[in-house]
Amino acid sequence: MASKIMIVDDNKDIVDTLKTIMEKEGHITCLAYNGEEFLKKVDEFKPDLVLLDVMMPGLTTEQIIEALNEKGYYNLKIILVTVVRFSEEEKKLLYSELNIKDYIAKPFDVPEIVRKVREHLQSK
Amino acid sequence: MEDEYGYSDMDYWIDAKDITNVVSSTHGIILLIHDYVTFEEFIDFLNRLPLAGRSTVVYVSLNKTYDYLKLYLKDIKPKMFIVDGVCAGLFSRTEDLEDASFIRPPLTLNNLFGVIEKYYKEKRPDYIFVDALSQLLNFSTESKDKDSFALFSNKLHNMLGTGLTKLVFVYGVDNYTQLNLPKMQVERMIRMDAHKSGD
Repeated sequence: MASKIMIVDDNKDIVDTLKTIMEKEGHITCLAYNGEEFLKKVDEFKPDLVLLDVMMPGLTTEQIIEALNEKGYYNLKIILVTVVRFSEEEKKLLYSELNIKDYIAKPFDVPEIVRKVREHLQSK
Repeated sequence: MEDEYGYSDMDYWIDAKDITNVVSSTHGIILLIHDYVTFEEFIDFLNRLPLAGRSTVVYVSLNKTYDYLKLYLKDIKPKMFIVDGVCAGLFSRTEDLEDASFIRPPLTLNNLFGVIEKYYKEKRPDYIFVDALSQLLNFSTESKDKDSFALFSNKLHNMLGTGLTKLVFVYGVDNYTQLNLPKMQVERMIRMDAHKSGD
């Protein structure tokens, strides 16, 4: 079944690649190139899952998550797709404090990203 | 030197195991290009840097957190000062440590110049590493970022003057053949390849 996926990254090449992958999976996509644009579009698009970059111009990831919480999106499924490398403790913080569902390291492996998106869309 | 891939803009092409001598004999700005070598290989390279004076390396990290780096750097020989450009924007971590500062990520070359200048003046290090320039710049053939880098490197050269500090920009690439590298704006461009089994 088609789900609604938001792709948020300041790198157009990455956005285009993820869009192609997600649409090939049968999903509907909405694109944003920074946190501000994402927050403007999220209410209208109402995504089932978000693929979110960490290092973008403008709002920090923490500010984006805070703004989402203020809008009531506590349970929005967010997967970080990022070049940033974290320690295991920091990954736990991402999951517990920022309510991130998963983490995919760039350069990403297409089967991995497809598998993780499927998993999280299927989970309650 | 033309490499086995037919790419001729690179000033130097060398395997990772020989790279230390090249870096240590160069002054100014070095562009260190790699096709995603493992961080263990990179650490091995850092450990073999010949160091002088107070032997300090400032490591400006835009893609690895301090805690992540410490896992790898705990046994490293050079005295490292880490400038973490990740955690402040993600975990609100801003309190300085003896061996680290936490800053909002520089999002422009001007921002990055400010960061480099600050820690250059404070630490007077032997080396400043910026990992990775590919976070801020794209040297692909279609990109105009090479022009921006020219202005940026002018400012850096003025700052470094005739001092001994080496500034090393790490740049990860997927494909060497689609690059338009700034060979006139850096003292040396080096391609660092991962060790392959059997080398």
